[in-house]
Amino acid sequence: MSELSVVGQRVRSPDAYDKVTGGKGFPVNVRLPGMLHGKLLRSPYAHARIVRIDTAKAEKLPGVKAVLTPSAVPQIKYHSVFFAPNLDPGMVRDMLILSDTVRFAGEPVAAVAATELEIAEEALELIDVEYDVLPAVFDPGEAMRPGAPQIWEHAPNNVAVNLSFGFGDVEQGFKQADYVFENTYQTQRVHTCYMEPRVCVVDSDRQGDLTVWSSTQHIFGLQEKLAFALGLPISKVRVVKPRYIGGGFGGKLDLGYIEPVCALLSLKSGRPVRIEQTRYEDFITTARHPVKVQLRTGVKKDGTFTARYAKSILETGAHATHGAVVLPVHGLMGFLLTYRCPDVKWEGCAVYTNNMIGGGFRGYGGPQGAFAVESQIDEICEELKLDPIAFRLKNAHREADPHPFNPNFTLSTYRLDECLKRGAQEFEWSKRQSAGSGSGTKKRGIGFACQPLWVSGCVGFPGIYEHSGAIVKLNVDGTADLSIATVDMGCGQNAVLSQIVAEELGVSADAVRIAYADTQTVPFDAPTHASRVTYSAGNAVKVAAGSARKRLLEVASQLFGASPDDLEVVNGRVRLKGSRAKEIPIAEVVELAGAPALTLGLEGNQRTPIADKGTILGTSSLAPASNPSPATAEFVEVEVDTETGEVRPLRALFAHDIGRVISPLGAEGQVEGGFQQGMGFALMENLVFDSETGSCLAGDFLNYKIPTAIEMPGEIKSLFIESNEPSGPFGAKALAEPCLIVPAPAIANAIYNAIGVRVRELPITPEKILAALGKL
Amino acid sequence: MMRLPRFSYRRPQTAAEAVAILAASGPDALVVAGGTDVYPNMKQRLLRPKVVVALRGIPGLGQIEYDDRQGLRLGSMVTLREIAEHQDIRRLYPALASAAESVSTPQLRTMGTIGGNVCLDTRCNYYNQDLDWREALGFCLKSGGDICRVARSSPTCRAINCSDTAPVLQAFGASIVVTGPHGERRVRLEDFYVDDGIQRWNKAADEIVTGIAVPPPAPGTRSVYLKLRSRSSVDFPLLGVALVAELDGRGVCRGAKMVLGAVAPRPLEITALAEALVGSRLDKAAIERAARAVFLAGKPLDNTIATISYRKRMLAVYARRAIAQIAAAA
Ligand SMILES: Cc1cc2nc3c(=O)[nH]c(=O)nc-3n(C[C@H](O)[C@H](O)[C@H](O)COP(=O)(O)OP(=O)(O)OC[C@H]3O[C@@H](n4cnc5c(N)ncnc54)[C@H](O)[C@@H]3O)c2cc1C
Ligand code: SF4
Repeated sequence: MSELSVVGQRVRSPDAYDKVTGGKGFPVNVRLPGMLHGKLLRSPYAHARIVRIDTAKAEKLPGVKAVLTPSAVPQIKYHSVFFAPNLDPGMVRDMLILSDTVRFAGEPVAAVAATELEIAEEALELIDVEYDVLPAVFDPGEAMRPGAPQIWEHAPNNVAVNLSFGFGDVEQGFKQADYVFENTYQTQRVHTCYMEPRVCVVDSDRQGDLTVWSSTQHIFGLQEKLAFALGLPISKVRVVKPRYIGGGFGGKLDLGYIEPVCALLSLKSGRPVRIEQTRYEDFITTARHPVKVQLRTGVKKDGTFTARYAKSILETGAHATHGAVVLPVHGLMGFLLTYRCPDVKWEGCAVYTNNMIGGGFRGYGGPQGAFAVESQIDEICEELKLDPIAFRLKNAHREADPHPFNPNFTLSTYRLDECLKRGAQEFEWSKRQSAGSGSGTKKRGIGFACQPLWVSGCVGFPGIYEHSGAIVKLNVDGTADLSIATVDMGCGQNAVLSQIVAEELGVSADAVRIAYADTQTVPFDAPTHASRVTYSAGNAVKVAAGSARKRLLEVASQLFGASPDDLEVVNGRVRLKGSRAKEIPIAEVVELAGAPALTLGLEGNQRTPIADKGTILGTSSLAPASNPSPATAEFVEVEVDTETGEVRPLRALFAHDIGRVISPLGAEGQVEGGFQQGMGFALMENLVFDSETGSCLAGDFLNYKIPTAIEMPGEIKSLFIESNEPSGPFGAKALAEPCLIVPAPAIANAIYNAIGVRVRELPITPEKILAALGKL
Repeated sequence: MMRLPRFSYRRPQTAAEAVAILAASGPDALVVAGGTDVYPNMKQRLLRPKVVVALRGIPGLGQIEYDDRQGLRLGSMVTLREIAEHQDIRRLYPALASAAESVSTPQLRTMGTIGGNVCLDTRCNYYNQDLDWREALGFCLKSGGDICRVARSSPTCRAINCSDTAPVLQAFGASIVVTGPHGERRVRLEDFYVDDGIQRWNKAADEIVTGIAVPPPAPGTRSVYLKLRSRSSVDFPLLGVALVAELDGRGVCRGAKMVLGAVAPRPLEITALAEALVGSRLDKAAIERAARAVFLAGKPLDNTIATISYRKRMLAVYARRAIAQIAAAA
């Protein structure tokens, strides 16, 4: 590949300055003239039928402009997940904007809009709701038992979705095994903890057309789902693209209650309506699904897999939403396809309970699978005295193998072996002691885990949108505007996409600006999710920029009197390939292309040198041709206090084949942020609910134990193994999700190495450690 | 959490004026210092005062004074950050500086005061929660109901005192200066607190805390504060262990006082501690005697996020560590 000048550089994110000086572009800062403040009345009961709602007093409160109850809301059942079409048969349509039955504590039952937020809150206290409280069930195991309260008519035994995948014959495979291991692993409910709350403003005009500003990961998904839930044609809804949002991590990947409620309140009042969720409301809006994974694994003496079986019970909460997709992603990417094995089977179900709804969360079923699979591999290695690195390499896929998910693709770049070998070397893995061998009260241990297979998008998966489009337009000052629907949710998508455009055009990164956009002005793009933006949207912007450059060179060829094929753009200037004799700035070419065809000179009218006038631009709309897999390993050292059970991660090293690194600064940020989230998942975070009422007991950052800066290890190293993926923009693949998938099993394995006991249930709290050590 | 409810805000210029407003407003009034405990509690609708009396405008409550004869005198509006950073306090009362430094976060320590910290409301799993949940579950004694959910047979509330500085101040033998309609009085910390999560202290509603007086440390005094919590920042203590001990030139313990935080509605003094430690060189046997005394005295209930058995076990571990630290410093 020729030398790159922008890709791979440590460029600063174009919105960094904006964000640290107030972040005008965050949707939470949108204010419109005459705007009302909305508030949701939420049920204190986990399962109840609404007998009667009396809003008379609330409506009379001065300042209240609209009140909404279920009877005034379209009763159209929808599924809320942005990346799947409305009528996709794989999805469960069980959501209503407001209904007469509540199925979790905190489900909205009514809403108000008032001139002041305080008035709206006061009005909620004046709404009188009579509930017929129904028996509730909070544990998925109990929910599946006969006689349990039935949450949905369409789901006998509360099973929302039942799935099974596999190949070969597992029973045959187990017969060939020298050893069979059986273990069960359980993960908990955790929240993405995006900093900007879910917030929206919805305005309506006299034609009933809606305009929506929202902190969302997907403007087209929001448009599609909102229109469907309201029973409106999609053209009646316009969603404005946020310049950036304050985090999402999958937690803003579905239609919440606030947008449809604001839309209806706005249609009713004729004014823009804003709802900003409190942190408590955010905590009960979206979470990672708890999964119980039972593994049965057959191996030969030398550690070769002969058969793998898993059964996963995923708790989806009161509505199926993401649960219907997290389940298969967990089964396939978290278990079935991770390693080579001839006979594999996975079965799973998503179970309704009267807990909050599970949602999207970075890793999407992967972390629950990796915790089980990677913990058990270490358990097997310990038992059979095998080297955990050699074990994984023996069973891993290899570069140039057919893609395990889709035989139409190959693993054209796949360097798990290099991740493991180089990672182990840099981390000084060879100095690892045998488990629990340290002396003293504080014991150290090192461990690692892999995510052998992941995605760079969703191409090849049924029922999931995967195309992207872009418009690249050159300006007379030599800059380029990139119009694209991709939302930057804090991972640096704006920077990466700008770099790709800049590289392709031959300009500097800061010459590319991200244009203001909405669902009317830019081509469709699938959401910011599934580690897909750099690869998938990156391919689309590269094609759009490439076609703009092609047009640029066609125009410039008229100035050079040469074929466009003989021209190149370097540092924002067009020249004959390899020659510095004559260089024309892009700005000049663009200006001449747009200048009047005739100019009046002293000698009369003159033709400008360019015959065919027009704006120089390029467009694209496409899905990438493949879905290459990144490969990930992470090494961690921890210190365990054997008297208090406290665990302190000391250092981490993350080795990842991500293809070409486009933005090293952004990539390192992904690794560090992923470790923080993964470490919280491993050690402390837990969205606790009261077992009696089903109410959230961790509705703020005092009670929800997310790691602070002090808990973070002193050192997190990123080791990027740069393969050159032929199907990716400048060789790039994906990074985002695996950064959070591997820390939990790596930490669990390091803890085992420190103290010689295994905890199979997350989070690994001090209490669980002391209990495992027999001290509690 | 909701928005703050409506209230009227008063900002008196003198302590006497503050006391007068409190006396006139009765139970509807509440003192606010830094507000880091009051305002979150109001947003959770745990408190709904009609009148909030801010002490911010009263001059002279922000002083820190030390002299060798009188000891340390802290105005009630001194912030936790000022205490944590004060050179005399760090040198002579290191446990107090580290307790202040261990409270919540830098932002809250810049706002939070020592007066507010010693008057911190008691806390409980079943109380410090949003209104919805308390309503759904049914209110407990502290929020106006008729049962304690933590100890169903208890006639009184067992919510715990979570102040980080109170156990240390008590271990140093400090007194609280209280100003009321009849002027100023001094009350030792052990007499200030009561074993009831609702009543909390011996202080009338129209009395305010204006200062704290800590006697000068005896020669050879060493002090330590250890705090168990989920994270090293933000979190309230799951257990606080304050130990102040005097060691003579040969390392023999001449006096020792240990006070625990976050196990009872008041700071809990380990009365059997002196017996276990005094006269010893804080050797292994003495430490084990002391740890046993602490283990027996502390009876945590189910009102934090950590389990009872874990907190119970940590009593002995933390007691041992506190004594070992003092011994190591000798
Ligand atoms: C997230 C978070 C974490 C926290 N973590 C801790 C922690 O780890 N340890 C800890 O000890 N505290 C913690 N706190 C509580 C609080 O921040 C501190 O205790 C602080 O010192 C309280 O001081 P303040 O001045 O803000 O008190 P305020 O909020 O102003 O008052 C607290 C109480 O004292 C009364 N009061 C205040 N001053 C006087 C006075 N002069 N006379 C009479 N009554 C008075 C008030 O009426 C009120 O009842 C935390 C709070 C939060 C929000
Ligand atoms: S100890 Fe009992 S009465 Fe007091 S707050 Fe807790 S549950 Fe309520």
